Amino acid sequence: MNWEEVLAEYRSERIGPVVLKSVQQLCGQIARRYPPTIYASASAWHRSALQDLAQDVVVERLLGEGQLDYIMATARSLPEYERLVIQQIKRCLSRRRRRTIADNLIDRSQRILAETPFQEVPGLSPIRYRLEGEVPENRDPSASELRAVARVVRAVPRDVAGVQNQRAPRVYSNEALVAVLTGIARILESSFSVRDLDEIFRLLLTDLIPTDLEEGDIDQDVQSVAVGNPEEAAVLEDVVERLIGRLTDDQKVILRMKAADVSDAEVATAVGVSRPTLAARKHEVFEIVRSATTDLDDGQREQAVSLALQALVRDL
Amino acid sequence: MTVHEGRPEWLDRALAQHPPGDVFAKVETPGEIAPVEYGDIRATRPMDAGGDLRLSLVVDVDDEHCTVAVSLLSNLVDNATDVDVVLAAALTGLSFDLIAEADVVGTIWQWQLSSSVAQIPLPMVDAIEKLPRSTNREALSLLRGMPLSGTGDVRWTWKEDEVIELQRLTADCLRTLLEAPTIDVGFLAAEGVHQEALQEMALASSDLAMAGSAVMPSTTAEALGLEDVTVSDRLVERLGVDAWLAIHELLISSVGDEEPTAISSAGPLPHRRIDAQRDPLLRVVDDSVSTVRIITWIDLWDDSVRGPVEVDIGGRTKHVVRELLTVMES
Repeated sequence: MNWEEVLAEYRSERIGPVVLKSVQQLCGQIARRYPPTIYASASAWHRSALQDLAQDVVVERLLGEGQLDYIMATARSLPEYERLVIQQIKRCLSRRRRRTIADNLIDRSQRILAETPFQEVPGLSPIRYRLEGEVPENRDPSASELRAVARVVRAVPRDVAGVQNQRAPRVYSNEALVAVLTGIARILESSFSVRDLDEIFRLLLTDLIPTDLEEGDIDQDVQSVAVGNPEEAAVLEDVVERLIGRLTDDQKVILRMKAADVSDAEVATAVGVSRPTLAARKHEVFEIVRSATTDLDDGQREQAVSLALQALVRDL
Repeated sequence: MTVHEGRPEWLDRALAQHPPGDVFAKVETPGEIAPVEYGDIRATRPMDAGGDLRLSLVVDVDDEHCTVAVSLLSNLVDNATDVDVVLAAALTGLSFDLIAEADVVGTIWQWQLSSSVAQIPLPMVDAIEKLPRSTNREALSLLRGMPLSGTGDVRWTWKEDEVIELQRLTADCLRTLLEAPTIDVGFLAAEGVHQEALQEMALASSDLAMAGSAVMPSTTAEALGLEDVTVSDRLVERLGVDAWLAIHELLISSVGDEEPTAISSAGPLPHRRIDAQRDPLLRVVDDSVSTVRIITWIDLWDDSVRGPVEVDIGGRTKHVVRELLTVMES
């Protein structure tokens, strides 16, 4: 196969034997680096699993999302064509993984949403959720609203230990997931469905799942946050309560947004101050956190901040 | 079952379900390219021949310097950060979604662009251009991705690669714009230009070079054939003693080891009043560059339009960007 053959086939029929064969060959090369149990729901990358992947790449990515048009508009050589197709294969694999993790989160969310303080909105299909006592609008939230809510609940720290090796890592502890769901319900002006949750989780997982990187490149710098014995839990609860009690409303917003990695310009806009003023405000917030947790060791301080962030999102 | 020769049935169904886009045809269309407009989506070629293209969004147009500022576009929508704005297919009319990387912006030559493949509403382009430093709520309400969460974020390396990709596209333009322009030494061989005008050009060249505002090409003396006494005598006669001394000092101080370009391999410069066979400018152009920025004088050209002209030197097309002076200005 050479570049002229790919070009000629695209001009005449878009995808024919030449492109199809190249996609199949590249799938074979790339997929073998990914654990089949996680990325193919199979024990090995058998011929049928590879064909299934190639079909997904062609139907969903190259044609369904128009990526073949993009590739042919920009590639001017066979190596670049192959690099861009490989990108799409990796994205396809990545989405399979993300799908699995998001499905797991949704299953757990549905169990949480079945209990107080959540309730189903009566008489709607598909099912929509809200907080008890609240009367949100019954409509689909817009894409912008879903992104906005994802940016807020992103402040809730994740538990991603073992994400590389597990088919469906939990990502959030149960308490953290409750905080995420409560935050979603409080921020959205509308009730929400499982489909909305799916989109929010997809956004929340953006930085976790490799798209153009090899599996081994995942950097696991976020550790599990687990509270130890009851005495320690009581101490932490007390510290968190005192910490939150010392923060003003604006300081809570600053802490929550910086935990979600929101830019200073955007945080400054949210609290209505200039960027230089924000720098001073951030310093004040970090000083409050430091002094409230001064008697704790590093691990306990991390847990306390994590619990405080859960509370700040849950109690919006 | 195979419906089309060599194609499985599922592929035929998918092809029928998803009609082709026309971006390939637009990128490939030769011929006259419409003036670049703010908000255009165009394919961008590197100045190295044969390089692969990238789509980019025009966020500023500078016709005087023949440049545009572009924001790099990516098809990796899943990688969007909070400074990458989603340009959905429904908005652009293309067959795929894109993200505009508001933090990956650079300057390129206008001739690196293909014809326009799509247009973005101008208020949106304005918001994208301002997004990285904006506290404007309109800009912040654009459809964006999640913020980067540090170097451990799997998108970090991708973002670094995108910056390198932008540098590949902008290198030639930036280098040319940052370096001092070349003095158009064509005036030293120009016929039909009044002696007073020639003297002014010589003195202005000296002043510009001494101030570091322009560069006298190191091969000028050789290109003019000044080792031949009759040639140098004639130049002294045309310039007058004072101007000759100024230019002579400049020629000596700028002499280098490079060989002048063979004049026989250079094509004519459009609108030039100097015959290509005698034009020293064509012989002093650095063979390794694809774009030359010159300080020149209107008197040496048939047009008074600032802007580029193309010339073939050694089989390669070079763009000559002209900053035109009048004798009075210089």
